[in-house]
Amino acid sequence: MYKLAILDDDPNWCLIAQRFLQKNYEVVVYKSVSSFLYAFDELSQYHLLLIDFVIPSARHEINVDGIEIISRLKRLPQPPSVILVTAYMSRYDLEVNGKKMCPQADGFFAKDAGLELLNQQISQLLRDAQ
Amino acid sequence: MFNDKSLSDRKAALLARMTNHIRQSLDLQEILDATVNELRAFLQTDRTKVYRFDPDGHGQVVAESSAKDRLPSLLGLHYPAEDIPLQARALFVKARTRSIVNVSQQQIILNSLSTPPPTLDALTVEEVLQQPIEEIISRPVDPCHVEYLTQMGVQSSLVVPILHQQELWGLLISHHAEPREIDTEDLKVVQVLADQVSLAIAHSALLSQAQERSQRETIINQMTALLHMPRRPEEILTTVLEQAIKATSSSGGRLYLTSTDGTMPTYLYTYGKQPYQSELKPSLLENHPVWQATQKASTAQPDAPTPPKAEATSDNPALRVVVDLEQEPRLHKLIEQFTSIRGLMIQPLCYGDQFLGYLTFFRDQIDTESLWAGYEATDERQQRPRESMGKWQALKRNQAQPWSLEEVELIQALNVHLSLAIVQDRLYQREQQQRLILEMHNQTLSQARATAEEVGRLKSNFLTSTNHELRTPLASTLNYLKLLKDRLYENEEELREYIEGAYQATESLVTIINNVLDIAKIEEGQMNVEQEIVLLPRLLQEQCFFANAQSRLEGISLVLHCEVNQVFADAAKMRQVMNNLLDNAFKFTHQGQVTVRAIADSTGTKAEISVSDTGIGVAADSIERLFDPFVQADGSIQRNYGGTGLGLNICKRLVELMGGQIWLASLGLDQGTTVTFTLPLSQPDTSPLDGSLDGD
Repeated sequence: MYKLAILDDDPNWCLIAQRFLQKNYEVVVYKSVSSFLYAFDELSQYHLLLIDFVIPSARHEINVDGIEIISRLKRLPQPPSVILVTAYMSRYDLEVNGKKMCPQADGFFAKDAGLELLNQQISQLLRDAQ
Repeated sequence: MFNDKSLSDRKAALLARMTNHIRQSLDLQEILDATVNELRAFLQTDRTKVYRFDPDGHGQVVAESSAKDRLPSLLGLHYPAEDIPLQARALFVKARTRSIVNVSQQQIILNSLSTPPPTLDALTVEEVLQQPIEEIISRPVDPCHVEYLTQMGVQSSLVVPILHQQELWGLLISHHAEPREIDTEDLKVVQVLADQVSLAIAHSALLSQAQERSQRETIINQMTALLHMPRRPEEILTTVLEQAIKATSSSGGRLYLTSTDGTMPTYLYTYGKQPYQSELKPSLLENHPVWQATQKASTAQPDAPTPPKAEATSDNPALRVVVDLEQEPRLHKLIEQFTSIRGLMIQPLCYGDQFLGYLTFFRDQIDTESLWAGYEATDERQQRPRESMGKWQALKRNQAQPWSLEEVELIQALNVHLSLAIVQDRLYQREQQQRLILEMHNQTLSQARATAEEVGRLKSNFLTSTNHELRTPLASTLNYLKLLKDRLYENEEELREYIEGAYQATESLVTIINNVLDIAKIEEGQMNVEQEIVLLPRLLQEQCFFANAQSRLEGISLVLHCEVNQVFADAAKMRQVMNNLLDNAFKFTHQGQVTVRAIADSTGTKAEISVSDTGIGVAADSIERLFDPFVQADGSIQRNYGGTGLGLNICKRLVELMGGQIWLASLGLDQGTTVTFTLPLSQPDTSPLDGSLDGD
């Protein structure tokens, strides 16, 4: 079973995504940058991560936002697939601007785009990564 | 004719004058002219001359003195090498002289001998060198030579060799139209004279060597200076090439610079005449084996240590000179491309063991024609020399021009400086390249930075924030409903959790939509404020009453102090402001109390209404931004405490609409917060009413 991780400070999103995805994947949730960075060395175990675009930074890591975190993930020896998740724009705007905002992300998901789309994206990326 | 005394005096005087000439003049031609004049005056013969051998064996009369109307002038005339065969030359060197007293008599003697010994022409050079001098001298004159001299009208001839560095440089010759015997003493004088000329030649050679060297050094210095001028490398290299071509009397040349490690592009600079390049096969000349071979020769020195020093290449043996292309079989296929080019010199450029390219020079074939003033003369005694001249001219057509040792040295010296400059230029270019890469990198970085700033602006942009604030609860509602729709709950607790989540998200959405629309209304100037005298104690009591439920729920007491009776305000908007402020106060306070206070300000025109709490407080540097839309001091607060981040912004707008001000004060984190706003006590232009009522 694939292992997925979610980094998001929106408790509703964390709950929804975990419940929705746990039927197919093993899902771990990180609700803060601190907890996420604390476990950073273990992140290689995840096949795919859902990272929030704007996440309040940890006090000791002022400049760490979703983009920076993705860039760090991509520097891992075996970088996992990453989907940038946001409620900042519609799925259509995200299609246009996603790559500009974060060239290193493998996929982009607007939180109000519908969970089925998320499902499709995840399975597509996991297939591609094989 | 002369007595012994006068003769010896004349000899001494002649030698003294010659010595003087040589000391005083550095000009060889001047000395040669003086020599032939003095010699003719001394011997009293018809014509004296100096004949100089060219390096190729041909020769030329370079100085002459002749009596009027006796023998024709031969000055400037060239003679082919065969006119004075090698054996004769060897004899000159060995015997130091050759005297033919009577040309016609010699001929007679020759004919009268029953078994004549072989003439000189029948001897080899080795035989001349080995046989005793007396035997050779007593040999009969070669009949051809006799004929030659006879036709020239010469009846007696004296020839003394002029040597330079053990080699036959030329001949000092005396011709007379009549038979003339030269005695041994006179002969000795002539030989001494020839020695003096040798000395002069040695001087002159040294001088011209020195001059040439300094000239060469000047050229090299000029080029070196040029190589290090702060100009574009192409410009410099083109100019240096041009100067080198001119300095070596080449008709054209090319500088080919390659890159062995592939980091640099290949350059080809050309100047002057170039081989014709067929358009069908525009292969680079430098790829030809003749060029390639020089590279191998110059780099294939595995044992020789080649430190990357300029001196290491100074006596580079790899220089390749092809004087005559027709003599170079490997170039035959290329010859048609060379057109009038006949010779070439290839200097591979190396720095240490790094091969840089080739410097190639081309030389045209030349037709040399010496004009001879007497050529048109009708004197039949010129016939023989004229024939020789014709032969010589034929020889001189389509000549390949060899390079002189000096020119080769010049090229080699240039090679050292050029290679050094090229290496320097490459290092510079590489550095430039790296700088460019760095610049591009920086550009990418600044682009990334710009993107990041754009993202930052995106975050702070109101529309984007609104987007986010609306989409977040909307997405929650949608996604909770999706979970419900798909029945992704395992028990009733989870079911309730989803319903609760959806409900709260929707509720939050409503608040945000209200706030956002309010702000839009205010910004468009459509928010109508209907101000009237509002009884403040009653309004504040009402607000506190609504907040009491929360107060009791959270165990935080609520205290009201109202010292102001009335304000001039829009009651509905005021309620909205109070509602927001009380909401915030309870939200950010975990213990202690919330105090609402209304007092008249120091001017007595306004009421100061404040809401104080004993909550988490605000850091000093965050206070300013708190009235901006969607801002909470710590981004995480929004998640922990809920709210839209629009409350204070709306309060500010509403208070300002009603003619008041709003500010926030906090002693710091965990020191509580006080938000204070003012409102006019009465309608402007009406005298203030000072009411002081206890509102508790």
